[in-house]
Amino acid sequence: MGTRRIWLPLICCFLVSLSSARAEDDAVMRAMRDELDRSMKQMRPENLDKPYFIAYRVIDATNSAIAATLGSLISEQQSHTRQLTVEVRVGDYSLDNSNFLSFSAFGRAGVVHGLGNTVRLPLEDDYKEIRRQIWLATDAAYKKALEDLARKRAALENKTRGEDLPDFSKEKPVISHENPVLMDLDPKRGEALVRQLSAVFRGVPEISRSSVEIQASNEYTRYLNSEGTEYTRATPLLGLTARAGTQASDGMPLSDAITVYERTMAALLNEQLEAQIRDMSKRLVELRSAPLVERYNGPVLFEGQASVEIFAEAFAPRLVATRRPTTDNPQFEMIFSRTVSPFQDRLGSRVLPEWASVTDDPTATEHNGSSLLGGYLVDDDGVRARKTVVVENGVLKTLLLARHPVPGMPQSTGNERGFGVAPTNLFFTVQNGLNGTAIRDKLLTLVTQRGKPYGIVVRRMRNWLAADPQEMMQSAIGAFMPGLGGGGNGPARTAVLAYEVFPDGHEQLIRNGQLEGLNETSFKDLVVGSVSQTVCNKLFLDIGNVVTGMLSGGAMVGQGTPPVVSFTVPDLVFDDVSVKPPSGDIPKPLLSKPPHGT
Amino acid sequence: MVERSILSYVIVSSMLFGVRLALAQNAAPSPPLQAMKAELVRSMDAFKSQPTPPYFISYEITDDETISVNGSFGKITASEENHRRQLDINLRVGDYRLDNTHAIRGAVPDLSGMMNQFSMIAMPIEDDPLAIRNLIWYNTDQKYRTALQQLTKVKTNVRVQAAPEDKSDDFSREPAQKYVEAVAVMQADRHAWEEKIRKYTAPFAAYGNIYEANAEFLADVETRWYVNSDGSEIQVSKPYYRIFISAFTKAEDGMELPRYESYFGVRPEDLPDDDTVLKAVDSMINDLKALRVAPIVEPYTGPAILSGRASAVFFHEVFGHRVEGHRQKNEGEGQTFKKKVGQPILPASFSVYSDPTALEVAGTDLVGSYTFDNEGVRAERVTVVDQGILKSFLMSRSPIEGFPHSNGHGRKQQGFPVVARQSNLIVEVQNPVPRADLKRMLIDEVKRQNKPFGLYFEEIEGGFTLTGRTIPNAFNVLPIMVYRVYADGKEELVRGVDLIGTPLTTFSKLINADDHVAVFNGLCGAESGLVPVSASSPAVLVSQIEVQKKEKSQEKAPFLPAPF
Repeated sequence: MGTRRIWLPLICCFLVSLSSARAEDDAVMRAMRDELDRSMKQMRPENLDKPYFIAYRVIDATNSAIAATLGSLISEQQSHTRQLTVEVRVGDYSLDNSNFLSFSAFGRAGVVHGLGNTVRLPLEDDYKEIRRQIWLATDAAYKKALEDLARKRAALENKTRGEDLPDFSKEKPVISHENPVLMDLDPKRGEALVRQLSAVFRGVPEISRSSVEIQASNEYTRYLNSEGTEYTRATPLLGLTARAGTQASDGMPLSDAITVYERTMAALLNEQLEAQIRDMSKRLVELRSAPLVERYNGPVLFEGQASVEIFAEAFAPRLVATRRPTTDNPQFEMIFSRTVSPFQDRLGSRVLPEWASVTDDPTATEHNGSSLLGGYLVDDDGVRARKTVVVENGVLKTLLLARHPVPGMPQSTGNERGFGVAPTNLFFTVQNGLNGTAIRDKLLTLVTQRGKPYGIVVRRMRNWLAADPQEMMQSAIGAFMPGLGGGGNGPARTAVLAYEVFPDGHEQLIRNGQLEGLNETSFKDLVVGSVSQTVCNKLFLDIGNVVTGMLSGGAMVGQGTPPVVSFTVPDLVFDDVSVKPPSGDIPKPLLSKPPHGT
Repeated sequence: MVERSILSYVIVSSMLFGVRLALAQNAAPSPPLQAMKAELVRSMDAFKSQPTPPYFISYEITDDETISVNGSFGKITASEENHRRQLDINLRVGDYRLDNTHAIRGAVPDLSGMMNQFSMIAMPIEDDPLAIRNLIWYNTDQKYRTALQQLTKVKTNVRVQAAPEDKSDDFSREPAQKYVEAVAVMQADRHAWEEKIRKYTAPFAAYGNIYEANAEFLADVETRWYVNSDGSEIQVSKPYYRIFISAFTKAEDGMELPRYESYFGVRPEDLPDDDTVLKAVDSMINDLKALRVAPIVEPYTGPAILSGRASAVFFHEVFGHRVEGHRQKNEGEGQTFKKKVGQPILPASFSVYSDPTALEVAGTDLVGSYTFDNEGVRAERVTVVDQGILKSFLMSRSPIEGFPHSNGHGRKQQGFPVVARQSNLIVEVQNPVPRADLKRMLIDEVKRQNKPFGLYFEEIEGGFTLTGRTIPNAFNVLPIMVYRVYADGKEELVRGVDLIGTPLTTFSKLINADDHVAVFNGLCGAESGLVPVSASSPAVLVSQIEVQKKEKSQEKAPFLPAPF
């Protein structure tokens, strides 16, 4: 509700760089190049490992976030930052300072403070000053790398290294340049838009909390490493989130959110935002008086957004490989063992039905008229983007990874995305899918076969990344720490819009359905998928992966929002899903009346 | 530094007084205050029919309009304008004697209980009554239900635990207040300040061994609207403007050596001109150069002079935090002074006041000034120590034995629960001696105690103190510029020490003070968040202090020389 998100959305500045002829030759890039050369050539103190790899990344970010409730602005923030992250590796590709966590790494004081070797650079293109900052950050990162490598060697002396995996993969140098893009959000226009959209709820006293927020982030990244890779990359992004919440007559919370991402304002305005928000408002009001879901075990059809959501939450995060770091602390080891995808040991096994495949394609930009926003030319490490077939005819071929190899996967797939490894544009495709109403008929056939009075169709799922920050925190804790709230199966999966479907074809809206027992293994037994597909752009955040990503990449993370992933997913029928009412404490209904009309 | 700025300030602050009076005449209540009032009436009415209705509700909306500019080595690193409003609700069920805020004793604090104490409710930054009232309504309903749960827990806890030592009520009755002052206007030009911040940080760029040099300009116009069910309606608004400059270098052994400089004023004109700041920057650079090669002091006990600013921080940490009222009630606290009211705790020449109504001391604007606290109680000047005798504590609306009423010191940061906090701590000493005499007295003391030298603490960055029972009840003041003073009067800059001690012993060692009063303006963090406070004091002579080695970074200076 109007409160800020946990992360600050990002956007970027390049007023100055626009004026220079070519971005790749500007003062920032020159300072990076000169200091990189000097460091590689001269940083060789006696009796100490010298760096074998150095990378600099400078992200110019211009961000803007404007939020309103009931037609009134609640916050407006603009920021403009330029951040440098430095990656220094000592040792060699097979064994270096990365993929390691030492307890003593916490509370280190040094010239460069803050997490992940990140420092703020001046916003002005001043060659000298930028070099000074790069010099100091490199020195601090180098010292940290030396100490980490020493500690890591010591930790390894006490154990046998299970697999002899290199710490860092060798990749082909790439040179890729893009020009910066102008920020596409005029604050006045943004203000007017969120006022107009949030005012929809003024006439709906049943909705007790609501907000509409627009976030524009415009990033321009400059990257250089000692292997000869260099790139510049522009990533403009506009996002709109509308949230609304109410309570059913018995007090059970009902909430929903709409999120829309686009590259330009024109595309965003094309999305019939007001109509979408009115629909959401109407749905929530209807839900208040809908009957509470009853316990149900049986086949469930997921349609549209609900199908994307279940795929994105329960299956997609498992397609990401995580390197388990070495640590000198047994408790950390326990935590990290939980973050590894169960798919990591299952290359060559069947993880989906034979009629299903999954492909990650950062080079795609559009699908049946919907824009796909997950793509790029090079990933954050400067690895060339390419299409990866992850699951082919049901069989797991590879996982998505960055430059830290995992067993059986020695090379990067070009999926390093700021918050760790993430998919880009993920396509779930089916052979012999069903058309139109045939999929619903299939559900009803299953229902009849099992002697059930009705089946369940889920048309909307709650997107926990669009929830308000407190809810999101709880979900995130649940996702990372089984038993702490999520019950071990990740965040509680809530169906916002679910219907009982009866054999005679009629539907009954039900509320507060919680889905249980849905995880990556459920996908293996999918009954059928549709020909039609739904495209959704969605933030991707897998907490465990973020943590390990910070360690494996020499801590090159920490900027901005989680990445946007585009999902293209058919409607899906699962064979056996448990749907039940929420358990635990149910809040009481509101005791007082809203101020509308007083 | 401090002495230099005195003259320029006196005139400004007296003018300021006139301005405030003039503004107050045109004041009108802003729309948020009206909306809060309307919603308060509705809330009290809405729950009337409940079995346990609230006996008290207050709403406070804090509006912060800020401009901040950050720079480093002559370049801008950030430049932003922000506007936000936040709502705080204090809703009480039960009665003045025992209510839902009563401390639960003898139980492990539960996480949700602790989380319930904090709230971050963002409010519209526009004045639309429906949007404001809708958020107040929704959050009041939530708070009410939480309060009912709390009260049930409190009542059970009271029945099963031994009676507390302090049987005071949970909440004091205070008169309703009506006060409206005009909403202050932001008077800072961000782009002009970008130029200044560049100028102030540029001189550091000439030195390759100054590793960080930052300056920040911050302008904040804070307006607070407060209403409560006693009938109080308050609108206060005040701007403040701040410059903060920091830089650090490293000694050969890796020790990080910082220098800070800060300026505060209630109008942009109260800040010093460029020449003054640039002179200060010069002396920061010279100090950093000197500190790099200064010898390290070994742990030492002996006589010392604390400069006015050092003494001010010392009193804030050692004394100020221990006279905060709620600490006398909480049985986890050390309660150093609880039973000492009416007894001497300082030399008879020392008096200490906590005075939120004071606007300036020795020509410096005080950051801890306010007219009403966060519980709608009018700010009062409190005589804490009168000629050495402890007289009173700093009180919020949480009474303690012998002190049934608030004296306007219930303070907090937005989102935190109120506790008793300091405002402007003022140390006054009768019959001060001239500065030169104080130094002479130090040298006499060095000789008498047969010490090789005494110490002079000139500049500090801040301090902290521990007041609990389960941890050593100690304080720590973090000095930056410290000199050894030898028997022959020679002074030598040293580095690497923290001033430590326990409160009662240290007070018994105070000997005298000089006639140079100086002010330390800062932010103080405690249970109720960060609040702006000041402390002022003359320089004091202490017959015995103790210093310990500073925690030191083990990181060497950079391997490669600066690129230029």
